[in-house]
Amino acid sequence: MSKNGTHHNDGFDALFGAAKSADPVPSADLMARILADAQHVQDAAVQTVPAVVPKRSRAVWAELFGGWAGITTLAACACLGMILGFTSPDAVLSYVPGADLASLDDGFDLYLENEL
Amino acid sequence: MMPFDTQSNISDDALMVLFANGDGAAANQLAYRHTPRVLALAFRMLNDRAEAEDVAQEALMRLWKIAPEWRQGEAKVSTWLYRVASNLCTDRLRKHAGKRRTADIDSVAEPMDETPSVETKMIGQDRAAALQTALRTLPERQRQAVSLRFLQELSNPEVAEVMDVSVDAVESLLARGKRGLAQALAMHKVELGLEF
Repeated sequence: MSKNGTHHNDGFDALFGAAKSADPVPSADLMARILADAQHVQDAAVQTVPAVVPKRSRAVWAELFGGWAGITTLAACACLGMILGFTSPDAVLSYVPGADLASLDDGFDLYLENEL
Repeated sequence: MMPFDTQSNISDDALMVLFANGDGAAANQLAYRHTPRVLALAFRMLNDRAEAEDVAQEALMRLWKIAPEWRQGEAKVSTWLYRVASNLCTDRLRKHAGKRRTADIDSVAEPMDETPSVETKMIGQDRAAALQTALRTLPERQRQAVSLRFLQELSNPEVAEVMDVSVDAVESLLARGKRGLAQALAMHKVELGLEF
């Protein structure tokens, strides 16, 4: 090897230069496969984008109420409250301080008198 | 001859954005710009055309998939692809370890193109084939470093990034790799017209 190291590089440069000129060229088939992959990925992205947004939005709401189980329980409780309120209002109003059916009736009578 | 579209001035980063937005032409440009070099690297490492093509296809497939999350300016597409391809090659080499026959420089001296016409072309082909065979005698990391630095013409820092090692480690791998190549080719340097 020479002092500046070029002696070694001359041989390697010739080798590497020859190797680079003999590099394999991608076949038309390979390029077609690669571009088909690209098309497939792009098509898949287009199909999934609209579907993902509403799903994510629903998921956020469900998460807010403790998941789908929480939302189901909440809806069931609301229905039960409505049924109890209509079928036996006395039982419901007994839990409201200062409220009973009689006072509600008085208020309604007073309203009718004023109107008539 | 294939119409390799490498003339465009659009940057790789911009093409990645275009691809993520559904632009098919961006895929064309990225593929024609990078596939030849990825294929060449894979071929250097695997010495098998079919496997090298599979690696190139898989590396590009990963590029397509990462496009929507690509962060501009953080990494070069070429470096990223070399890294992915190198890792894919390493995986394949490890899977095939033990199955591959030991490289013998005298057993594989045939050029890829078997239609030599003039002496200079024959010498070039012989040199290319000899180097490819000599590369196979190197340990995997040295072969990878030599291929990336001297055949793919990456800088030392780029090689370090692809291989996930320090620049010092790259320099060491390159020095040992060149010594290994010189040893492997010592018996043939006269017939190949080389001087180390």
